[in-house]
Amino acid sequence: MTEASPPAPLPDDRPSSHFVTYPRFLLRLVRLATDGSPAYYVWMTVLTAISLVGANAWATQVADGMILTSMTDHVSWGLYIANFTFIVGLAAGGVMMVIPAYLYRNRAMHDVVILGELLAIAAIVMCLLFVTVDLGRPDRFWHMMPGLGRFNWPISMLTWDVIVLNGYLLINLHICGYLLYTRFLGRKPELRFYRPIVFLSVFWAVSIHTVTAFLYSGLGGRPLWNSALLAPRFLASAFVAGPAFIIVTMYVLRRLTDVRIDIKAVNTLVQIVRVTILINLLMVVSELFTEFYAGGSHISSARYLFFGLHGHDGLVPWIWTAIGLNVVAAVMFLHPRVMQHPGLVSAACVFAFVGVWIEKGMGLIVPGFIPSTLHEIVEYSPSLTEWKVTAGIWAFGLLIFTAMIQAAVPILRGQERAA
Amino acid sequence: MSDKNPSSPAAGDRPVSRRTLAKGIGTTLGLGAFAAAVSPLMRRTSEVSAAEFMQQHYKDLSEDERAEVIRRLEAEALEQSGREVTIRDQAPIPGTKFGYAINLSLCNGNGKCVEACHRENNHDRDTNQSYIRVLEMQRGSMDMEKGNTTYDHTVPAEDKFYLPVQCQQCDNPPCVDVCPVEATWKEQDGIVVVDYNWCIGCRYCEAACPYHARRFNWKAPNVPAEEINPDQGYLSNRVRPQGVMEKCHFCLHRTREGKLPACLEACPTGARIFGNLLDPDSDIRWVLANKQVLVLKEELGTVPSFFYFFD
Amino acid sequence: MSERTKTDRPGRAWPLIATFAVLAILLFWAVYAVIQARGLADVEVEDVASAPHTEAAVRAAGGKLYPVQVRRPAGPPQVVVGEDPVTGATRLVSCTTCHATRVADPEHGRTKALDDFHGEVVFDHGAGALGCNACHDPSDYDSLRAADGRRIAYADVMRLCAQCHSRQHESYRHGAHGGMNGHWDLSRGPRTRNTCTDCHDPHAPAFPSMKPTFKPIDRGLQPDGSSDH
Repeated sequence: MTEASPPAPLPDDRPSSHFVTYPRFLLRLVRLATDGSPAYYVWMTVLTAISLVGANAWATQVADGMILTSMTDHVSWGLYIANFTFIVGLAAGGVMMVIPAYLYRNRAMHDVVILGELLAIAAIVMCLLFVTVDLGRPDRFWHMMPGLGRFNWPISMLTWDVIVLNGYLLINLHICGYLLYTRFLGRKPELRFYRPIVFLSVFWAVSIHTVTAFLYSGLGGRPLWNSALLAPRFLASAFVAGPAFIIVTMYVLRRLTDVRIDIKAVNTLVQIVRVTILINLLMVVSELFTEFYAGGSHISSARYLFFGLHGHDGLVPWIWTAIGLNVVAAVMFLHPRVMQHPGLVSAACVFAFVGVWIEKGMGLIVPGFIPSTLHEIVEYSPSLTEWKVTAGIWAFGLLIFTAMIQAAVPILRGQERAA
Repeated sequence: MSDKNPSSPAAGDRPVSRRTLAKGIGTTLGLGAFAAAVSPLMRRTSEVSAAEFMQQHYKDLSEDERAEVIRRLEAEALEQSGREVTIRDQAPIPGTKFGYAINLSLCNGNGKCVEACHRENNHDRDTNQSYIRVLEMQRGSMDMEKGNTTYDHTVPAEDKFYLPVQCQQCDNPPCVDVCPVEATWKEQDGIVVVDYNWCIGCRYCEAACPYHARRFNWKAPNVPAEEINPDQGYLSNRVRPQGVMEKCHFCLHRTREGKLPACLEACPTGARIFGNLLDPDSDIRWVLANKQVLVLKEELGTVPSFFYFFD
Repeated sequence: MSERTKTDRPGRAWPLIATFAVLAILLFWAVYAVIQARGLADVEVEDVASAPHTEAAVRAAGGKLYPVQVRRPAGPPQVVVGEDPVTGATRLVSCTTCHATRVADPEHGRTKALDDFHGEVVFDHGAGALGCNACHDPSDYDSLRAADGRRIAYADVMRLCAQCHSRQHESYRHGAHGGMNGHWDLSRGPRTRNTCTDCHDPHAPAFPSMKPTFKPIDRGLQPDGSSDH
């Protein structure tokens, strides 16, 4: 996605009103997002179909009750909140492109940083959807709106999460929107309109995942979560999963489209993942050492997760898969020769991505509830409804991510200008 | 850099319009499919009235509005179950803070309290729902890991004691702190209540409670009309809607009228002691002063109003 | 990380520092707000004496409270002596009917050894140290007898029990034994209480075993109570 050249100023200096050009810009985005090759249409149609399956499953769940999920009073959060947690990390992970691009003026990264920002937008939308489908009464959503309802801020960490997630969405919409709009107008973006916001987004990215970790680590009754290491762990794994996703995206774009991507940007991200994946593993090991060496009843959840408890071992295969994937990915990332093959790099990224997804979701949210606070063991595996809704939200997220890239790339390259 | 501008009229009218037509058809199909996909929501909207949707938080309702809401709820109950019920809105009694104690030396785990709660509070019949769980514990240990709620043999069993757990009505309740919409709060008399018409069903409180005291309505509760307890309270035992949280409220529809909770009256061993912590001559105060009482999970700092003792 | 360009200048750090400062102030303020709000969440304790219409307030004002009614046995028990040969009705006689003429054996502590009457009574009270006349009055079998020889009516059985089980009786007097029904607040209604023999068989007072009849049917909770946890 290299810029063609510094955008030339508009041929005529007529000061056209933003009231005219901005709607035109939005219309152009819609048109660009809906134009594409047959393969693009096939891809988007498939994603739309999966999204609709998810929407239908959710609507049925709202009508008939959350009895359609496998969640119980013992395991009261499941696949939805697991995915929510992971995807908050994905959104925060985009910041690992923003830091080199804006703080260290990494030119190659600067050209593709919008990918990270668009990913953040898509990911936050997915997060909000995952929270919504987890609500027993989505019709009462307005109770959470400040002003209309009763917003238990600043006591409830969930209200903090609502603020930081929506704030992060707005920040990234502003950055992407501003850069695209000025490019659309053929003007040079003014630093003062986006640079402070970009710096804010760096802190904000850290805050969204810290707050999400605090949701869990603040609960004294859940020993598996009640750890000061949770927020750093979340950040480390987010900075594995986010860059891994973007690396694969860049390879896909290089292969399937005429978007040119500087391999240096990929290399920067590979170097970041090399470090973060080791930090993440180190923190997992620290957590496990502290738990298991000291022992006691507080480690029941960890014991259930890794070895099974009283004959219940539903999550054991999940967590060892995650550990295996993370270790293999770490070894691959560390090996210099492996990193020269795009295929192997992509494989390592997929391993790391899936590994973190399990580790944070089925490997952290679910075992927090097993055994229950009264030490009853009720196991959990997602129902078909939950899988359908989850697939639907992922498809919808990919759908808007693809559409945004489809619309953003021609504008950034200066191919699409205000008439 | 290309100066090609596909939107300019000169850049070929026909392909654009054909494409636009295809897009239009696609959009229409997509919207139609979306409407069909979410059509099950219509079933729900017929169940939730506009008045219920617009209803304000319990604390924001004026006296008149509360009376109006209760009239509506009574009418809905009659319509849905064919059963005449009375829903009242009992206020806390000034000068009262409720405390509860259980004598673990007497409790034999027979579970009559569990059943009494089930009937009193109009719980779902399909799941034997109740606010009380009784753990069969290993004598000589307070480790719940060695406990078990599913025992169904003759009680008391050799070498076991029985630990009934329900809402501990904490003075520092984690469930209240975490609620994003203030749908649950602690009342003057110490009872932690839920506004079933305000809860959004996020279940954060259920994750936060260290005592497994909270229950979620995964579906609309099923209570046959003839079994419904018609003596109901707005914040207590009225039949709950689907998708909201509920919890033990110390039978506030009874206790705020001076009556004893249903679980206490049902206990055949006399293990349960209930009363006003602010009354120095109350039974509960005598227990606190004269028995070696303990609270569950004291280290979490939840400060329960629920006590246990052996004697 | 990768290459730094030459435009990298240290002076550019101010937006970072400013953002950080603003965030830090926000965070401290939020923490302060949380602490404040938590303090307010504590339940305010009211003055009991001035509070209207609670048992404590009425008692303090010397007002009248509803009674606590303790259930009592109807009177001396009767013994089944067989069926009426004509009507087939159960024949009951009071204790003194027989014991006016029959002298009880004071050495007897075992009902099993009795072959005419009372043989069916399971006696397991006092770990073998008690005989019938520990409680039954040999001079008047229609009443009970305290350890000091004083007569106690059957209706006052609690006084008899309390002479040995003073700790239970003390707990009972404070509502911590024996259970109750009715009102916790006697300014609003009466209370009914059991007597000892409502729950305890005086001849075998250990509380009987029970079978739990109502168990939760939670989804996913295996009803297998035999597992070791």
